[in-house]
Amino acid sequence: MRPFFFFLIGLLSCTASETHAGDKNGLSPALVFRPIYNGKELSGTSGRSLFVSGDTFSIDQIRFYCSDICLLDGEAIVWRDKTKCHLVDAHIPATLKIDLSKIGRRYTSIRFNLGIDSITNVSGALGGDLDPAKGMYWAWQSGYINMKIEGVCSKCDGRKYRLHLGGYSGENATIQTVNIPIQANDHEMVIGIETATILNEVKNGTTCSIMIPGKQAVILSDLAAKMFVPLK
Amino acid sequence: MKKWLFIILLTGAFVGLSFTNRKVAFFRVPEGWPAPTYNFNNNKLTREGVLLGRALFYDPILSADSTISCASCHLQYTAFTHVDHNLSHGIYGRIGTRNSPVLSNLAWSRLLMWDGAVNHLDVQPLAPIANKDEMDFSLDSSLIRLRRSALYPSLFRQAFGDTSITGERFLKSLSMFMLTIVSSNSRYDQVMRHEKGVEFSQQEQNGLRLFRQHCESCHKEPLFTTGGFANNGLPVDTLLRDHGRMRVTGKRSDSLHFKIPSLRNIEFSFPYMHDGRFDRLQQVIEHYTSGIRNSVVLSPELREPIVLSANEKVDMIAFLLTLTDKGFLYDTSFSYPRFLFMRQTKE
Ligand code: HEC
Ligand code: HEC
Repeated sequence: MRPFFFFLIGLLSCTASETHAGDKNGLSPALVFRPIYNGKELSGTSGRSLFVSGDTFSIDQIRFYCSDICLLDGEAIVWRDKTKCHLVDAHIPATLKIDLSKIGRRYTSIRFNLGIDSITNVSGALGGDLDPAKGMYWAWQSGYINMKIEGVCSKCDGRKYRLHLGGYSGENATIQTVNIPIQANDHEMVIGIETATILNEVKNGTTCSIMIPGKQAVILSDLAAKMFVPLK
Repeated sequence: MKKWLFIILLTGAFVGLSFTNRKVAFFRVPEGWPAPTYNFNNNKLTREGVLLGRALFYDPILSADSTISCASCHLQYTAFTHVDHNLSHGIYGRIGTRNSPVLSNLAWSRLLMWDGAVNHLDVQPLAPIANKDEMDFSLDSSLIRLRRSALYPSLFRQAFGDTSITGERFLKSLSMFMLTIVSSNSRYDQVMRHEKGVEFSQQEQNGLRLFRQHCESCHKEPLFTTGGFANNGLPVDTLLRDHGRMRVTGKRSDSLHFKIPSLRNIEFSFPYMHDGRFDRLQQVIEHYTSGIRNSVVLSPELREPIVLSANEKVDMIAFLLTLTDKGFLYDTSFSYPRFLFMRQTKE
């Protein structure tokens, strides 16, 4: 019994010891997403486009799930987000900044999932950001939509493109792990979302509409993970 | 030391057990049935939650033009299926592409819908609400309507402690109600429980024997389904071109596979099959004995022809009729909650 007790004490004290630059001034660090298109920052109030290029192209909506955020020191996880999942919406500034609680450890990279894991996908009705009323859930075939990007593109049928990326089972699984190195332990870790990475596929007319799980969704989700880049 | 540990563990287990028992207190697993697949720990049944779900199930407020409720296609006295229609009729008189299945014993189901496209009972209502041919609405608009109604904020408060109307609560309460729709008191059940004075006739007994020989592999007792998918050799309807499970999995081998339906209350759940192509049980038996379309995707259980004499066919049907549970079909705790809606109109 006793060794277990000491083990507990040890565990507690160890998380409280080391500090690092980010925590020193008493601020807890934050993860900040900055959606961009070819390097240009995207913003817009609800109902307005995030980016417009004449009447041939626009970005009207970017929403995605960011889940299981971890900070790593080398290979070791030194901190794990208690909130399982965040719905990030480019139209809602508050969702673009995720406050991470006090960390008190050195870390060299941040890791998170783009999308929802398979267990959550088969867990029935969930609340908060995972509430199906948030519009990130498929009605006719169960499963979360990991990411939605929509807008206008003159090359597409009906001039609209709609990328709804999701699918959780077997070879249709679309969840992606994103790993971003952190140079200094800054207060804010700014991660750019370079939408051109995926939207070039739309602009060259290759892909305009994905509304179901499948091969195409897997390929584009792979590409979507590559949108996330460290910004300095 | 070891002894103490053992005692602590044992008490812990007892406390844990009684705790989980309390949570599913509302839900009784019929004698001899397997454990439910539904995880009641994530959605504890309460009287108030079930009542809220029942109100939602019967309320046309969930359809775009407020004319269609879940019960429009799932009527209690036909075991919660759509009576007399092979393809369910929905909003604006549109006709869907599939026959509505019986709703009962959903706590034991795994994948839902004829093709298994829905992976959990909780999220099932999203499909009919958003389906253009069914209720043509969205969860979000449904919630807005519920928040504005005179009835629902108080029902949600009674069920969940406050008036907040979220998608999660909405879906969980519908599940709560649907979970209570259990049919386990047919004459078949009474015979299996050796209840006094209930016996099968010789004909029914023979029917059961034949059923166990030819049908049991898919329509497994006591639920009368394995919960899996199969191709029972129906020729494809060239108009509807419904390939069932393949649409969801993308696998060729799942072509023309449909969910194996339970046969409980089969007497009242006609028309039969995913597209409602048969009106009478005789036709179903004829299909299994002489209508099976052989193909590479036909389920192996049906590769060998089923041979039944005229008398045996009659016996088989006699047995199937023992699956009727009259108490279930007329159980007032599943029926239209008139008292709730009357109160609303008075207000
Ligand atoms: C217009 C008719 C219609 C309406 C309205 C309707 N359903 Fe259904 N329901 C169906 C049909 C048809 C299916 C089978 C669909 C399929 O397999 O694709 C079904 C399937 C189901 C299933 C799956 C059963 C199983 O064993 O697989 C459940 C549960 C269900 N409905 C509940 C509901 C609820 C709850 C509502 C109200 C929110 C509702 N239905 C509204 C026609 C309807
Ligand atoms: C290989 C598995 C399998 C076997 C064996 C089997 N069935 Fe079925 N049964 C199914 C499937 C799958 C369906 C639904 C098919 C569809 O709708 O396309 C079904 C549907 C039915 C239905 C219609 C139920 C409804 O609600 O629409 C009845 C009745 C039925 N079977 C009776 C029988 C009888 C009686 C036998 C034995 C002679 C039998 N089945 C053997 C798989 C099987």
